[in-house]
Amino acid sequence: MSKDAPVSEPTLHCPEILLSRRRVEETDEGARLVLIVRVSCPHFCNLTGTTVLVTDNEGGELELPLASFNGVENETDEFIVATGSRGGTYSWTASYLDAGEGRPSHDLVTSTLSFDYRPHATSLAVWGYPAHACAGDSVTLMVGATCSKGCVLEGRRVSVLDEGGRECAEAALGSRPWEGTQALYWGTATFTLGAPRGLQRFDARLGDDAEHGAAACGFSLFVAPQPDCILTIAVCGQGDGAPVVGATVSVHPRVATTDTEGTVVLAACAGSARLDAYAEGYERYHADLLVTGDSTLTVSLVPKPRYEEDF
Amino acid sequence: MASDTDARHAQHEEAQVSRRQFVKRAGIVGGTVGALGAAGVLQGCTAADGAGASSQWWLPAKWDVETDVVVVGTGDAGCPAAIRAHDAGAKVIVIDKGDFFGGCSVLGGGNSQLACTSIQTRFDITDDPEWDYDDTMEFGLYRSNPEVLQAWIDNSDSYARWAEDVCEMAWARIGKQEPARVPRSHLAAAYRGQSEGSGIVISMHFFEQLEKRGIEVLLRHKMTKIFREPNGPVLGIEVETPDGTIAIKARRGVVIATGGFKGNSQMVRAWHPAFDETLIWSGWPDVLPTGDGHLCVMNIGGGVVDMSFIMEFSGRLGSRQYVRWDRPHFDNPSTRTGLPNSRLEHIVFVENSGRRYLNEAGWEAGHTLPWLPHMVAFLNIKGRPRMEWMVTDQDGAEDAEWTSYEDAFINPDPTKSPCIEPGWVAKADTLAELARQMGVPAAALEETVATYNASVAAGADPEFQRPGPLFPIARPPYWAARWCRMSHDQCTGIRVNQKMQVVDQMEQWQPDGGDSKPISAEKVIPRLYAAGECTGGTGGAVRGSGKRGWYQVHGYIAGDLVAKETPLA
Repeated sequence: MSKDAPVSEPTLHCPEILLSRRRVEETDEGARLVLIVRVSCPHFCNLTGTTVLVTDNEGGELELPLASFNGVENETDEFIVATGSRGGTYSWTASYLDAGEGRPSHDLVTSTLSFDYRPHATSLAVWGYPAHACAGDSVTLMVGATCSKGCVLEGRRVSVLDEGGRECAEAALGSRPWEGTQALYWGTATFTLGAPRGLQRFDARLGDDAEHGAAACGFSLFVAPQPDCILTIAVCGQGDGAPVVGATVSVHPRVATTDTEGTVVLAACAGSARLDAYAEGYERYHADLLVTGDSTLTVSLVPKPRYEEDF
Repeated sequence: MASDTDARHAQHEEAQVSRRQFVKRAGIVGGTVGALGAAGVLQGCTAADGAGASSQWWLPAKWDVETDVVVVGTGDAGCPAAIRAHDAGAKVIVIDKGDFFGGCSVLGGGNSQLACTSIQTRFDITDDPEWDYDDTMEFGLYRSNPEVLQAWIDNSDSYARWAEDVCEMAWARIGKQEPARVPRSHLAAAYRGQSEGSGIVISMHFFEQLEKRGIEVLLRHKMTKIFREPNGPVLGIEVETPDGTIAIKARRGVVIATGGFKGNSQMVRAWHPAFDETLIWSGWPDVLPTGDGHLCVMNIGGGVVDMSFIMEFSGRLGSRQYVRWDRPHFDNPSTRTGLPNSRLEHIVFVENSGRRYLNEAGWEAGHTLPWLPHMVAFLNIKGRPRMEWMVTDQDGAEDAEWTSYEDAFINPDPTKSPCIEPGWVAKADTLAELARQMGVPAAALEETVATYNASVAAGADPEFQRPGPLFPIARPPYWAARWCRMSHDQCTGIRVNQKMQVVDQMEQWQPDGGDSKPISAEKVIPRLYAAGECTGGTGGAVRGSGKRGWYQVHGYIAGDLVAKETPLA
């Protein structure tokens, strides 16, 4: 038998390509997207120096070299593409094809990325409302609005509508963004909860103006009956029986955290209820209760096995 | 005779020059290779002047370098194999395709799971061989090979003592990890500025022992082929070096310690088609275990076992890197990347469409398997690449401790710890703005969160049955970070027996009768050993934590036995 001929590599490699978005920035003329293209070949080919073609949906072309190789992936440098000033969906497609002069060639692969540009897009946030309340309670919540270009929205009004579409409150947006945000202008709205019990859904709505579109944001409140019982719940660890401090305990809709004695006191309504508890280092706990009056309960949490972490 | 000797001497000189050249360029570590022996007359085979041109197709044109033992890989399995082989009297060359010493072992944590050791006794830990066996069997879904598993148990103590007595390592502490019912994860003491329990300390000790013995370590040397006499012993390997391809003759044998194959996408997909592009190209930028050992072994008829149990996923939050990108070295150990991901009470997961896709409370990072519900949910995500975003509000960001990493959210930089990838984190005033940054439909994300908040208010999650208590996502600003799944290591691999000898797959061609036989009775490929992550049998479908202890024991066994093989002429 003759000596084996060297096994030759396939002459056509099938790489993978990914056009990915790193940042989006708003400008006066539209949006600018910072992109990067990665091409990887299953044969670990170093493709630096070869080029990726990026085309936009209007036929514009950009040729970019693969600038670096980490042993697996070939990357272009970051590059910027821009939308037009008009709203709409913009897309870009990166293509890679390497004829491979003197080396294996690489088959055509493409990756497309789309971006929906809405100039002066507004959006809302609603927060600060209680997890639950009783019929007849007055509820105050915060509502904020932002414009994608960071416009000052001071003075704009946001309506709060109930499930039937009736306006139940209104908030006027103030002059300063909410703490920790870039441009979330906010105000408060107060209204009185109606009679129906259970889940009530609301909508906050911001109308449009000459420059900005409308926006809406839904939220829900649980309208509970007045509690008539008090549950005192002691949480301890199974085994040593030591109180578990900082455990989260809920008897829907009320939630509390255990004190230094491992105890919480929760108001509850007579009837069936579900009790949930968890604490770091313990398995989750739940029990179905039939609440008939003031009670004291002990919840025993099972410790999770403690393991060293691998890297 | 004299002319023969002269000719061999000339070839010897040539080989030495050649060797010096590649050694110099590769940054060799100490030592010299012994002189070439007599030209190879192979066992069981006539002919073949091993140092000269050969007419046998299974031989190289010439042997460029000759030694007793070649160890392929400088990780936790390769190093003890090389040290033990040397100490048993063999001349040893260690090669590694990477350009730094230690392979994946320098990147990982230092837990070394060992069974029934005197070190455990020193720390007042009572272990039992039956517990070791049962724990590992159960955790690996009863797919361990009984004899191979037992070999780890039986050799753990002598290895642990050898590591201290011979390698000058000090076991400082023993921790408890899955699947151990008692603490078994041996952690090395702090050493030369590296902290107790760090993985790099183990590699540092091995490196020093190799250096002390003058054992050659050739970096940037990649094995591309094993030379095996047909149906006979292994004779040596072919190696790609920075200066071209050479053949190294191994008179006593070869130890394959090449690690897993997670870096080889074709191989991963061949064994487990669920691993698509979303799961492959993540992390491990430099080391890239590519299954060279598995492929070379299979090519000469070596067996593999349960290869589709690749499959321990691990991941990072907001980072595509498993460890810091910098090249690891002893004075620059790798560090963990990504954002905290252990506190998820206030977080919802959404995929490409901006919708939830699983019960977040049933999700667990690391050591997860393809058949677990959250992996099934992941594999069902439409769109490519699959995205898994963790979304929360300011309360959740504070609870998850993301707020400590605010700068990484605003100025993500993959080159600085925690190595956050631009485009993989987002922070915004509203959910719609957050969605725009994430690249998911804004209306869908708003609707998802509104629906989830309604479930929170109602006290039940009808969609995914997430257990309570549930917390709304409400208080701005909003935060999101993308989860990066990556294959972590292989649970199984080259089929070895209890002596770490590679089993000959061809034996299955015409099995001798219908009865199963223990692996120790199966035919092996003479002089071929494998150790570490590249092997299968110790664990099963799942690898427990601290498995570098297994790898070290494998190398410890293989190194001694390969050195005791009768040398080829």
